[in-house]
Amino acid sequence: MKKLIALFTLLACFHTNAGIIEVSTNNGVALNESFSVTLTGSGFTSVNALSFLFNFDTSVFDLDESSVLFSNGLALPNDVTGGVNFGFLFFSGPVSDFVITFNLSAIGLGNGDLSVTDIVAGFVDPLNPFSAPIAENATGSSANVTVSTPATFSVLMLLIVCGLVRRKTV
Amino acid sequence: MFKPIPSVLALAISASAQASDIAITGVIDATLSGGTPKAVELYVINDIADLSRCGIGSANNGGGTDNEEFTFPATAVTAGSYIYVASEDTQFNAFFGFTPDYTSSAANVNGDDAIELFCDGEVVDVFGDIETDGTGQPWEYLDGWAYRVAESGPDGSNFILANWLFSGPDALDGESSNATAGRPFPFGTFDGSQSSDTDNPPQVVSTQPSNGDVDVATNALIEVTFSEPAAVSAWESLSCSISGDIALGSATVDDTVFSLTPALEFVAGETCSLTIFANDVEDLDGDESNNLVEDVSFSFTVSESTVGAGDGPQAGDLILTGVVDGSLSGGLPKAIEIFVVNDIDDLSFCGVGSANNGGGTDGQELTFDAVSAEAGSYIYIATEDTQFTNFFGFSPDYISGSAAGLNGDDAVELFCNGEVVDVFGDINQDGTGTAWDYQDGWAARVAGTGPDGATFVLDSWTFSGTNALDNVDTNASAPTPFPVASFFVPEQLVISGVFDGPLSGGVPKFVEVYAVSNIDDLSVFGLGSANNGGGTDGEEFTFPAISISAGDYLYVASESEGFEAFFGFTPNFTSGVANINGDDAIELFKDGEVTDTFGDINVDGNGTPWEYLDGWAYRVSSTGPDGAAFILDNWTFSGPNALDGESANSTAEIPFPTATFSTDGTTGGNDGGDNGGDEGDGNTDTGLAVKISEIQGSGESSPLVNQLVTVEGIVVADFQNGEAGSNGNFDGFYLQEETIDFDADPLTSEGIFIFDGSGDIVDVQIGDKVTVTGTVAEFFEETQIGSVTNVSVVSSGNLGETELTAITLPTETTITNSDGDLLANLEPYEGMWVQFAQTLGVTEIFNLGRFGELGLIEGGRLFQFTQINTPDEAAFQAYLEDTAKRRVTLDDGFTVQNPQPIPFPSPGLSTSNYVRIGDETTNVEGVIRYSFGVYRVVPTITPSFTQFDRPERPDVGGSLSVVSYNVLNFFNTLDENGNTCFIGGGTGDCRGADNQVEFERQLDKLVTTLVELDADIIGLIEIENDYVDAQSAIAELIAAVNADPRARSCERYDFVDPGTRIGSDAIAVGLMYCADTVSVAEGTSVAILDDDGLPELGLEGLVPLFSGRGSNRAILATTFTELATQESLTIAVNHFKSKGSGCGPGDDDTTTGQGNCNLTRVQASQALHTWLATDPTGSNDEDFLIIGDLNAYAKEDPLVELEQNGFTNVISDPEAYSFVFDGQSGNLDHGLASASLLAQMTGAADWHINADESNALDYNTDFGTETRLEIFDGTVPFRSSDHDPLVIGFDLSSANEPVIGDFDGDGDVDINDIRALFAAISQGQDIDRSFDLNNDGTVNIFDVFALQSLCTRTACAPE
Repeated sequence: MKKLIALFTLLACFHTNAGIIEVSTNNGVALNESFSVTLTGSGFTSVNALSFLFNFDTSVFDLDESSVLFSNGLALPNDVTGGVNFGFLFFSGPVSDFVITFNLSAIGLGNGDLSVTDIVAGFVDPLNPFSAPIAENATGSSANVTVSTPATFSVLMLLIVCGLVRRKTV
Repeated sequence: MFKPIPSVLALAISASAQASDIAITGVIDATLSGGTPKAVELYVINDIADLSRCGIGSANNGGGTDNEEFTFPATAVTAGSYIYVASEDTQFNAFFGFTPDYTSSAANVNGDDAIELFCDGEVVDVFGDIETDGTGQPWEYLDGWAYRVAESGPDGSNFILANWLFSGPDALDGESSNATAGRPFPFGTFDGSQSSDTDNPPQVVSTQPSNGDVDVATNALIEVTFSEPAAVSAWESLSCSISGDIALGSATVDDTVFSLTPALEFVAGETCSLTIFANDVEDLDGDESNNLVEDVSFSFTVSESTVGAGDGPQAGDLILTGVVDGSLSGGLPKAIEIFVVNDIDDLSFCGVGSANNGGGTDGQELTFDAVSAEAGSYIYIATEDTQFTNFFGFSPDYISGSAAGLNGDDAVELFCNGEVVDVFGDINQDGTGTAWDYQDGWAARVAGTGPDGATFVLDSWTFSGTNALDNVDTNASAPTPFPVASFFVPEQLVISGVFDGPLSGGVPKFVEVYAVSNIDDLSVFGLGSANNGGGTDGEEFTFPAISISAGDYLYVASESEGFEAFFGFTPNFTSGVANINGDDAIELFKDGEVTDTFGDINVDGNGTPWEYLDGWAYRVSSTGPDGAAFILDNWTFSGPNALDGESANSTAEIPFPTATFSTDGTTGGNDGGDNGGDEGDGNTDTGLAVKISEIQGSGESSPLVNQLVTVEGIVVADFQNGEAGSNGNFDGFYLQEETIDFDADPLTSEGIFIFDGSGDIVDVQIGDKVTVTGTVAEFFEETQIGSVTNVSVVSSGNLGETELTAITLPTETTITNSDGDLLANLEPYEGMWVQFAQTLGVTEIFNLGRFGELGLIEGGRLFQFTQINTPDEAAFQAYLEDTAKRRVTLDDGFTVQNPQPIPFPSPGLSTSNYVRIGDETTNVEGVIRYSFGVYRVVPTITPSFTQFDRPERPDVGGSLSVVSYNVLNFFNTLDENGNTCFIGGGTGDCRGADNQVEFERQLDKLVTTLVELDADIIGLIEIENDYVDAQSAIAELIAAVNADPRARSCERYDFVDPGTRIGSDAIAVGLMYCADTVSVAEGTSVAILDDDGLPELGLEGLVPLFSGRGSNRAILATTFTELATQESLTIAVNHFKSKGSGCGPGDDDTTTGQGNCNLTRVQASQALHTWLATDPTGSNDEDFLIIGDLNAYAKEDPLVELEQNGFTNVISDPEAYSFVFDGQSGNLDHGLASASLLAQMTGAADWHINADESNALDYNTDFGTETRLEIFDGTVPFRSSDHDPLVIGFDLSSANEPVIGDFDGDGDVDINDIRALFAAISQGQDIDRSFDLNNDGTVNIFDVFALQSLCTRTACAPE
């Protein structure tokens, strides 16, 4: 399956020192298939505590909590209305960039946005964890994914392939 | 880590230090030529190496800053020195006797100008409001001065009126030198000790009369000026050589100057002295009070001479005789002429004021000098001397811009002894266009008229007409010149007595006459007797051509031998005209005309009311002469045959009142006719016949002030002098209109107070219908009729003709008194007979013992705003408005201090017959009175009170009890015999018992309370800071408790001995504990937090924070182990800075209800929790308890600071209280527990044994000693202090201690708690604030991160 990357960078209001969490995934999947989502954090100064709301249509998608891959420490996914609230504790030390992956299953037909909002990120002094943290501003992005029936999905893929071939022959 | 706060604070401190190096301490605008000297005094607080950093500028006429107009030269000045900057040096030197340091136009101030002091370009101090012209402002110093209050300032750019003392405008009028001035500028007396931040005791700055003064008037007031605002608990009586003790009534406007009114006039020639005892005077600044350093006494001698028949100038001694509004440049000269009728020894009893543009009286704007004045002389007052002199050719006697500042439409009032004795013009009317308009002209009194009292009599004046002086350079050249010094008083004599004696031959027989005025040639007068109703015999005796003086008595007798035998002196004249027989009339002639008459010349007096056979008749003072018409009411009579058998007047049962008649000459006609004010029969003037509602008016003050009125009404409350008053003693009674005479306006009261004084009175009874004639006055803002000339009882038993008015609180509106306090608006009922038709609660009891007052409130107990509300400016103002409408004062009806017995509850307060805050009374009935700034209901029926049961010691459960208890200054070093008590850097501040009696009373009360508390650990607040002494106060207290035989569970108490004094104040905190049940925990130390400990906490920027009386007290912390359980807790005892005195802008909360020094207390909280977080005793235990008097109510910032940092108030009831101030209850004494200790608490409650009780039951004997000794009971705990103790119970157990971070409650902290906490966050659940582990006000992922640090096991592994 060919992957398309959808990036929305929200440059208009982007703070120079703010971090960003980008959402990468397929733009189309077949019903009952599982697909991977990658969240890439960049532009942070020093983060060892992070939480955000990962929003999706829970009638279309479902998170496979066991698939959450986060190598820096402890992931704390919690189902909430309209998605999942993620918490991450970076026990291996503060970072400025990070990658989090997990799988979603397409459980219904439709078209849905996947987005990251309500980000709380910052640094907690491990030697004085009860002191005031140093919080960082951050923004999230979103991606759109269409879930189709398997047949429709095949035709769609075929048309895309044909289009590409015709363009090469001209 | 970057720490910006200390750096910022360091900068602030540096700037502050510079700003406080120098201060403005005085400004003067004197009255030598050109209004000089004008000068500014500055005081150097700290050494200044280069004075050129600083300079001054004057802000003139409210025009805003002129910036730095004068910069000092680059010179060094030392602390404690003064700097004088004057507008010039010649007059300054002449006035002060030394040369100013600098001269500059910056000091060219006019009494309405502000002064700014600059250093380094910043305003570091200011006098006056630079944006406001000072004329008419409280800080005006025109022809006077202002001087900084000791220990105040510098004030930065904000002018603080309270930091200044004032001479008052025109105080220096006529003064040629400061040394001889009546109110000298107190140069070089500023007490600059504020730089050391000490609270100095008050001093007596001056007295009037001064020590050693002679020729003091018999009616002189006493004035005492302190160096700073002070409270005087009692004024001793004056001790006088002839009069004996004379009590003093006191009044003060600003707590610095006290005006004392002697209850009696002095006797001529006697010497009086007054002692002001140091212990009776306390300052109002600082956290605790200071007494005078020592007793102060002064004495003076009363003048030997008297004027007229009185002791000071009488109403007829001075007369206004002219006013001038010239037309030279500037409308000059403007002047007033006054004629001296009789010799006056001391003119300073009198003065003048102008009432401008119909704006009503300005009061006495110029007071004459204390000099004598000769009869027949004139006094001239002008606005300036140059143009006056040019115009009239002589100089005025006084210069006063305010008093003589006339514009042709202004009225003038002449005052003597504080009363208006004469007036020109209508003070409430602008004269422009009126009959008395004298624009560019003058008015002159008609000879022989006046004085007119407070009522202007147009017919007594002649006028130049307006513009008569236009284009006139001198009076002499004026076509209509002002008649300078042309007034005269017609010579006047009056028949004052007739006598028909009992001696052989019916002698002596004589006529007594009285000289109303000076008489140059007595021969113009003569007498005739009209015998047996036979009509006039004409003038039978003519006086010789001699001169006599006003006030002289002359006796014309039929012979001298009998006269001398009976009276012991010789008659002035003998003549057959005096051969009268008790039925004969007498005529007095002047220039052949009858000017006065006794008896009806056409009627034989035998059997008539005026018969004086073998007796006498004597004229009523202030009556006559009556012309040719005999006025019976102007005479008193012995009755016929009253002298039968008498051989001498001195032994007669009804003696002739020889030489006792007096008059000011204002009541009779000048030439024998009636005076203008009399009608018909010529009776004494009764003024306006009015309804009481007309006098009261619908406003706050009467529209008829100073008017002579007659009213008729029903006596509804009787407070006449002595036993004459059945309801009390206010020297008068309340009169209410008959119901049918009530008006329809609900805003006009129908009642009024009649002040009939303490002399001879007509004894009235409740229900009497009476007519009263007197003068309307606003006496300290209560409308009353005073100067009563007549009280006549018409009939009795008429109470039913008027009615009781039912009223209720709250009122619809409030009213603001002169202190700015809000009151329930009871003005429509002032003087009325009312009933509060409701149940009212007692909310204030502080003044019960001393003044016989209780505060009452509608709607239940009144709480401090910040006890039950979050501080908020708008809400606070609304709260004040609301609560003011609900309050009224219950008064006992007596002006006496320290009443015996204490009146409420009837028959007298005692420990068993008590009234407490919260008790109730229903349907209080009495009259509404306004005095001392509040409305009072003075009962006509004795009120009764519910006496709710006193509370038992609260049962708070648990095995361990902890108490916080403020013990109201327990010192065993008595405040007597020069004893001194420790204060940081010195001694001398013993604040507890004044003597052994008080000490034993205090000890009894405290021991009783501590025995009944029977607690394990007790935090003590306000105990003498003498831990270093073997016989310390706390040691003596513990010994007394241990020796007490009463049953209790704890046999043996001990106290925590820190081995040093705790902090630098005379009082300290302390800890006592039951040695049977607890001990100081092994391995721990007793810890003290004072300023020295702040740097270690990173709080060095808060220093000074624990620096004695003006700050918070040092904190004492100790860890105790409960012996039975071996469980421990750490207790920190505190006493934060009170609200009683200010800490300065930025620290004092003046808007939201938290009061003075709020920031100081918040910082103490900050230091406290920061300190406890370091485990200062080394307890290794999370169980911390903060107790003590935090001087902050429950919702205030200092409590919030602790609650946001891990502590929880052990009292959750919002209406808890431990203290009552100003009738408002609130909790100042707190307990705050850490989370772990809170879980072990079993209960907490205040024990209300003190706050609700009268202080008359406490250990002090300062006021009403006899009563207090009688009602004191040391075997009960009530009023053992002014604060209630707080009792807290605990079941200490580690099992009860929650595991910090145990979110799921399973006894440990592991990954499950982390997941559960984040899940709760994700779900938006309410999470206990204890999980805000980083105290940033929110619980989020950062707290989850912090939580993992609390995990019980490695890697937060679950069990």
